[in-house]
Amino acid sequence: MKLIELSNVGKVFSGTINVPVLFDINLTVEQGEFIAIKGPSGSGKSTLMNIIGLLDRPTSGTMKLEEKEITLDMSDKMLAHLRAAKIGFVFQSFNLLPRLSALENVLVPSTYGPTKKNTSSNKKRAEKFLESVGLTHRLNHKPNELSGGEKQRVAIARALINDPDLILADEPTGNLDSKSGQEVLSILTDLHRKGKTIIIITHDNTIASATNRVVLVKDGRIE
Amino acid sequence: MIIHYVTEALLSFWNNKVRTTLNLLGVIIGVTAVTTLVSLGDGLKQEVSNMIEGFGTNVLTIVNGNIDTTTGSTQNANPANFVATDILSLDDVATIEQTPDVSQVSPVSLVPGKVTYRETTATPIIMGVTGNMFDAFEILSLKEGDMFAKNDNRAVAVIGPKLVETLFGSTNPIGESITIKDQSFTIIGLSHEPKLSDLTGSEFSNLVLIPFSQATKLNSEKVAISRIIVKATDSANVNTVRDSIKSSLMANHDGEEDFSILTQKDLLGLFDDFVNLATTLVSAIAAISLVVGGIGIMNIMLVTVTERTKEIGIRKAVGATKTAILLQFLTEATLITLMGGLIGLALSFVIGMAVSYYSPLSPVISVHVIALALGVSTSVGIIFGIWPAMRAAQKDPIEALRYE
Repeated sequence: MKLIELSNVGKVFSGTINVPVLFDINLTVEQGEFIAIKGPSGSGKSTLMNIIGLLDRPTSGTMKLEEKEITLDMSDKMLAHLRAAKIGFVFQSFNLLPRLSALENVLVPSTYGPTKKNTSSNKKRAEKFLESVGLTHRLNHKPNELSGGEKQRVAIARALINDPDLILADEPTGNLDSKSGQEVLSILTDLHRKGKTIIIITHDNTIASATNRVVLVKDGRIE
Repeated sequence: MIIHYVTEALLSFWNNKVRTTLNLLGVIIGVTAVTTLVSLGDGLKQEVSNMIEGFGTNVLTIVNGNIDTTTGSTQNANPANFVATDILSLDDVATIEQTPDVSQVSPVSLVPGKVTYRETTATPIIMGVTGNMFDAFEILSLKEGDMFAKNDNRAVAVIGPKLVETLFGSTNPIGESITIKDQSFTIIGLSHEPKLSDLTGSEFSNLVLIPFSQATKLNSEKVAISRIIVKATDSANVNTVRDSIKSSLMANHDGEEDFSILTQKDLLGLFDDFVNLATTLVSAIAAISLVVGGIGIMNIMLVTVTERTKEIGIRKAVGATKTAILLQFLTEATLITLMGGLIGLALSFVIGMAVSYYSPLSPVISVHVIALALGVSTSVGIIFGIWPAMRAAQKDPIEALRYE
């Protein structure tokens, strides 16, 4: 099944002058794929990620998620529900909430997702995911008590809590030393093996080469 | 879900203890002031209502001047009439005595002046009354000795316990003579403490009762009736008695209604109106502090929203809707004012206890005061929290995520 399908997608940031960022993007991602979107900074790959991640809307073209069209007039609320249910985000700068423990951070998306009422089963799953990324001993630690690699592993557990189809990782190893980066990459590879669709946005060739397909973005176009 | 927002909010309070305390303080002061004042007003009304019921619900008071008892307005009357003493006459008293279902009529004539016993002087209320006064006005009663007869003309007096204490100390006053305006009166009886609390009854304790005709003599032979106390046979008859007295007195007064017949219910109504007005005014002033507290909360909430832009971005990225963000911040603002309201309410309980311990007034913290305190504090939270919460909800997730 086609998980993501972009046809002729364009994005123009309008303001005092209009800045076109993406032109005629055609991209199809099948269910279960492991791909890298690669490109230099300023190439438009972050904007592309925001569109795929339903944080932003394209200004032209069509986008389908699970073969259903994401229309321009879809409400913010609808997009928020889709993000909660279908997409797990992993960010370069981890973006954990500093006041919350590792376990509570993992639980944040569950309070907005389809299982928001089952708090006790959510908690069990959060513990299970933290265990799967090797952080059983860090459940109640705050982000500032964790190393960079540990933070990113908490973020991966958070991305998994609502059991999304797609993991969208934006430079997940960008702020990590090579050893921690390798660990994070092997966790993502492992998730791909278990059937998750994974898109990594990166400009790192070693990361890109670990994936099954590399999509190159340059000057707002796919090459 | 709400539980989740509440725990989030409590966590945020815990992380900003000083800020939270200062915010709370504003609300606490406002709520304490408002609830204390309202409960004092309620206590006063309760007190007066007990007093008026103590007079007996079958008692009517006729006074000079026309008071509109439905509104308390005296607009259509000459204000001089209220202090006049020549409107009601002894003919009126005789007329009222003839009215059916009237059991007692006692005119009251006030005498200005001092009371002297040997070298000691006191300034009690001096009332000229008929001998049936205690039957008409039940809060007073005879304790010792005798009351004078209904139309007694002797120079005798019955005095209240406070005056006994001032003039005689531990000596038995019965048989002694006191002087009012150079006229000597022999004390023949003592009255009980009035059946009222200290707050409203003290004037009936510092009291001299003399026969009505003696009061007329002291007032330079002028009949000066300040009020007529009328007792109906039964409290069910009060309204019919009032209407028949009204029509017969109007006939006596050439059709002019220059007097008022007040039932206890009317008096209560007049007093309640006054206390309600006073309470509302004072509470409104106190409520200003709630508005100031609310603005403080709004200010801090706006700062909080800006500080937590990144958090809002993260939450939105992982699926929070605008409503969820709105509720999170609104819960925070409302919870703080509600907590302030509860603390303020507790404080006004304590103040109320202190007031009733140290003064004759007992503030009443009724269900409606509690509802008022909690309702007002919750509303302050919602009103002043909604705008910051909306600003939080409207943030664009991409820009919010980039915020450092």
